[in-house]
Amino acid sequence: MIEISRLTKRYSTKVAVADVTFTAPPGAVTGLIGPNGSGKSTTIRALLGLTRPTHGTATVDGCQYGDLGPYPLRRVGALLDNAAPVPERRGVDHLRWIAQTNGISRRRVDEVLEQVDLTGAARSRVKQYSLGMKQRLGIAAALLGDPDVLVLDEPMNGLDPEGIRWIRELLRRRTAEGATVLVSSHFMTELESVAERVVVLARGQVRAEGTITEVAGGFESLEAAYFHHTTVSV
Amino acid sequence: MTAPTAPHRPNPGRAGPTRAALRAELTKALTLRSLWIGAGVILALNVYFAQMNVSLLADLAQTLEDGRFVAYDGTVASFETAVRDSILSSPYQSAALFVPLLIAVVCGQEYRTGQIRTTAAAVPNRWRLATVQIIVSVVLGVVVTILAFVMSDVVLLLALPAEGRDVVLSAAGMLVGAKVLTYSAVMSVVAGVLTTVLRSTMPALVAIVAVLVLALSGVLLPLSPLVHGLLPMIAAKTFLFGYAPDATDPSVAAGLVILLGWLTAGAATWFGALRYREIG
Ligand SMILES: Nc1ncnc2c1ncn2[C@@H]1O[C@H](COP(=O)(O)OP(=O)(O)OP(=O)(O)O)[C@@H](O)[C@H]1O
Ligand SMILES: [Mg+2]
Repeated sequence: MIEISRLTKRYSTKVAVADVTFTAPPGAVTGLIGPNGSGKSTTIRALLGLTRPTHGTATVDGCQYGDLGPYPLRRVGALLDNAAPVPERRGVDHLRWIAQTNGISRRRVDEVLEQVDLTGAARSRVKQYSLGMKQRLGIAAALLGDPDVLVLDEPMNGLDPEGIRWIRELLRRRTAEGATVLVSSHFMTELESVAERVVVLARGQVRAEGTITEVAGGFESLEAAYFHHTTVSV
Repeated sequence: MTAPTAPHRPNPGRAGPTRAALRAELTKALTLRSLWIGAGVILALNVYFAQMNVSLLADLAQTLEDGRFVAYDGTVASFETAVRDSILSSPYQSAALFVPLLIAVVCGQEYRTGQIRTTAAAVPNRWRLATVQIIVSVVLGVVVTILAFVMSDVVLLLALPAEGRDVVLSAAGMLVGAKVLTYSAVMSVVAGVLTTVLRSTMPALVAIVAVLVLALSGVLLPLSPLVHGLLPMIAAKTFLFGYAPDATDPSVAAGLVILLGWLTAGAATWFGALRYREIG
């Protein structure tokens, strides 16, 4: 369970997130949507303990990220915005060091490489990867610790249709096993097909929250609801 | 993409979290191509400098009278001193400039593409993170300096006349080696903390070169000999060579204290920067 409670993050010149409250329950995919700059990544960074909230809390299973113990990747897997692998390193080495931080076996590195279909490119340097291959590598890193909580910031960016279908199936399977998944995305149709719940952010505030049916109810589609909630000032 | 494998419980491993983080930090450095290229360039330059010293010493050996010679400034110096200074000179240059540049490149990897976010999410305890980063920087700096020192000794041993070889292998020759390692450890921490505070390799490189230029040009000397003496390269000079080349230089003991001061302040700032500043 992910709980964001009255989260506010103020930077010197602007408020990125203002009094945001929502939960992402286990066994479901929760979509986090909103225009560019609406505070999705800031919320995720606060959840991962990278950004210090000005007010409020962001917890995983009732714990601040820093209190999850020395091996947090075994409980929370994250794909972060603005955290690319170093281009001159080989893909497999990127996963190796991340695995080592959390005492995860070398065998598991090969497993996740296989899962994201990067086994063949594992020994190439990341600078030779395409956009989608980099994205797959980031997803592989999130899966390393086989965590019950996944926090993915725009995981579908750059993926080909096959990759998108693969991640949809992955998320469905993990939530069926009871995992908690929080996914930010700009792909409304894709999200509609995979998420049970959705949180709409605009200008750092929650504009709508609930099941897809609740949020999109009365609209043609999630996309129509999105435009309604993010353009009409509340 | 392939079908999923069975849910996997990661092997907990027996290494404690700090050992795990240390291992990861070493892997991060050693899988960086620039580390190997940089270290290779440093060692090649080092052999080149040692080779130049050998020809200088060979010329010098021709002019010896009673094991002494007249230096360019008119003073009389012993051949032994000249050899000892040569043992030091190339590792000293490495430790003063090239090793810090290398450490700045290695530490700067965290900030090139935002890797620090992945690092901080994987190792949320910032004290642990700073500790392992400091250890790895020191180890890398010291290892490269040891290699530089050994290689330049080998060049000297191969090329020097017998009386020079004895100096290289003497206790005094070994002692300067230990000292230059201390110096490179200090400079590694200074370079690493600069990179960590500035969150970028380039400004850290500029800062390192600027401090070096301040030291070599001696512009601070007329303003305050004290401040000039606090620069790590100046403090190290006496400490390493065992005599004060300039009257205003700090004594050997003071030099060591100043270097240890830099080490402590650098490590403390490193901890502070990771612990109290937001990663973002
Ligand atoms: N370190 C920072 N300093 C100042 N402002 C920041 C900082 N980080 C984010 N912001 C601001 O906070 C706001 C929210 O940014 P955030 O990255 O969370 O948006 P987002 O919803 O993820 O957008 P996108 O869809 O483009 O990824 C933006 O206006 C951004 O400019
Ligand atoms: Mg974002």
